[in-house]
Amino acid sequence: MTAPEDRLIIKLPTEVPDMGTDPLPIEPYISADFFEKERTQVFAKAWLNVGRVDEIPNVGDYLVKRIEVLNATILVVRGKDNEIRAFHNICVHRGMQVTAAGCEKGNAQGFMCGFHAWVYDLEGKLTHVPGKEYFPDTDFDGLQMPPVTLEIWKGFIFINDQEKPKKGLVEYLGGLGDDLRGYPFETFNHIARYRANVNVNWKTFIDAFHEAYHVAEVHKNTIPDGCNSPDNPNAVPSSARIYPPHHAVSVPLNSAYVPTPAAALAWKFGASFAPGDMVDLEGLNPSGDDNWWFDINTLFPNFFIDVGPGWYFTYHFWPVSVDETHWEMNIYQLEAKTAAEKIAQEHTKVLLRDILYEDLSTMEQTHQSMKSRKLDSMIVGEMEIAVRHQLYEVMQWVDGKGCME
Amino acid sequence: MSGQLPGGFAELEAFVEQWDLITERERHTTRLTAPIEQSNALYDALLPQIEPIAEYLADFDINALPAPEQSLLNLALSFMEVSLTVECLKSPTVPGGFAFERFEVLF
Repeated sequence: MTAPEDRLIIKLPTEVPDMGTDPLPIEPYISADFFEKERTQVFAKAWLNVGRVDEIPNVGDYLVKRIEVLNATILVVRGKDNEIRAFHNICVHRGMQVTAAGCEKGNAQGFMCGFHAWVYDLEGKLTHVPGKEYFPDTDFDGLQMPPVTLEIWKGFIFINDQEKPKKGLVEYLGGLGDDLRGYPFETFNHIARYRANVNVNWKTFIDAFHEAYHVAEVHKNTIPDGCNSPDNPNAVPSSARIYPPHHAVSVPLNSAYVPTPAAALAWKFGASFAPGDMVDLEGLNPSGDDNWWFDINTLFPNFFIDVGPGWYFTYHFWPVSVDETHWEMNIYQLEAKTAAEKIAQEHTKVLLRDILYEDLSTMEQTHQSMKSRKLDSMIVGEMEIAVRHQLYEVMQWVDGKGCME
Repeated sequence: MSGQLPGGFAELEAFVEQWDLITERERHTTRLTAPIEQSNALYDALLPQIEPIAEYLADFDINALPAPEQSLLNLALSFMEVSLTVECLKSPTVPGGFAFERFEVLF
């Protein structure tokens, strides 16, 4: 057994808030009352990512995002002036949505409500009302779909439910945004999207993705030795950076990792998610760790951007209720110019996807156990600093002490 | 069926019907639902051919491949699809993993 004084040190280059060392209470992960507070105190105040500008490259391109936790359906549109704007997908007449049921994206010259054919332009303004003369008491001037506050950072589109958020997006992202600023997100291609609806609280879901302690067991069939090495058998993070309310964790690399034949081919041809040669990109490994694999970046409250050498991927964790979360993963890679690079990319996709099947496997059993209320608290170790910080921030925000107050 | 692949790769023709699939979703569905012996057979036949395939296709614009070359690339992508099954999982699905019927692959 390793003596406590022999344990590996996690570099913590930023100031860490006093989060205590007690076990974490279970109640916030299962309480419907607490969830209602998260709705108004966290999700209604934080900047939330709804996509990337590359998803809507042309004038008239739009995205429709259903955000259950805000009880909102948001329309994100590229206007005639090439500006991207967001509106609530609501016809000002009697509230019908102006896009067809189930529509997630499209291209339009404007929007027509499918109820009474009221028409809106790409800037959200009401431009046509059939039978307008039968509304003698209505002033139609300036009517438009309710606007949503929107800002863009590095091509990532964020919305905010507040008309005037306390902090702009760049200020909100703070040191985490600074660390990632140089990463060439705009040069990557979107190569995969996965989704699942899981019966688990959004925080329990998130907590499986910002520690590597679970890798040896949960990922024993796919990549058990990616970060677990003889020198670091528990995959202790090499560094963690706390930029309240966000944080980042750097995952260590097992330098003795022996690639499978397919992984070896991928690295010969291009880049794989499996450990291999490091491609030096700005914005990676901000703490300059030895044996570095990739950085997990948790953008509070529910968005991850994990960056690596030649690939990055994102996770969205959208709460539906206290007991249900809609999850989405998107994978991006540098453009494949040759068949060889395309074959290599397929390896990253397949490996990540199969890893995710493993990650998602623990969720519902954990949530069911929590709901039994047989445990009041859960034990969280130093390697799980991000788990502790996530709940710490949520509690701060719910108590009215978040950074957007 | 014959003559669906470029001349030098005729011995892979037997895999075209099952594995010449353009999207990840199709390749993944096939891997999940096919008996593992079929994934093993594809893997074994393709492993020594991946480098020759990449070399051969290097002369083509990958965004405008003629049909036989596109089929060849699709087989190589199917090789990567089954690689986890063959090398690591020893199973078409991920053992103990989340139910694949509930996991949506969109592309």
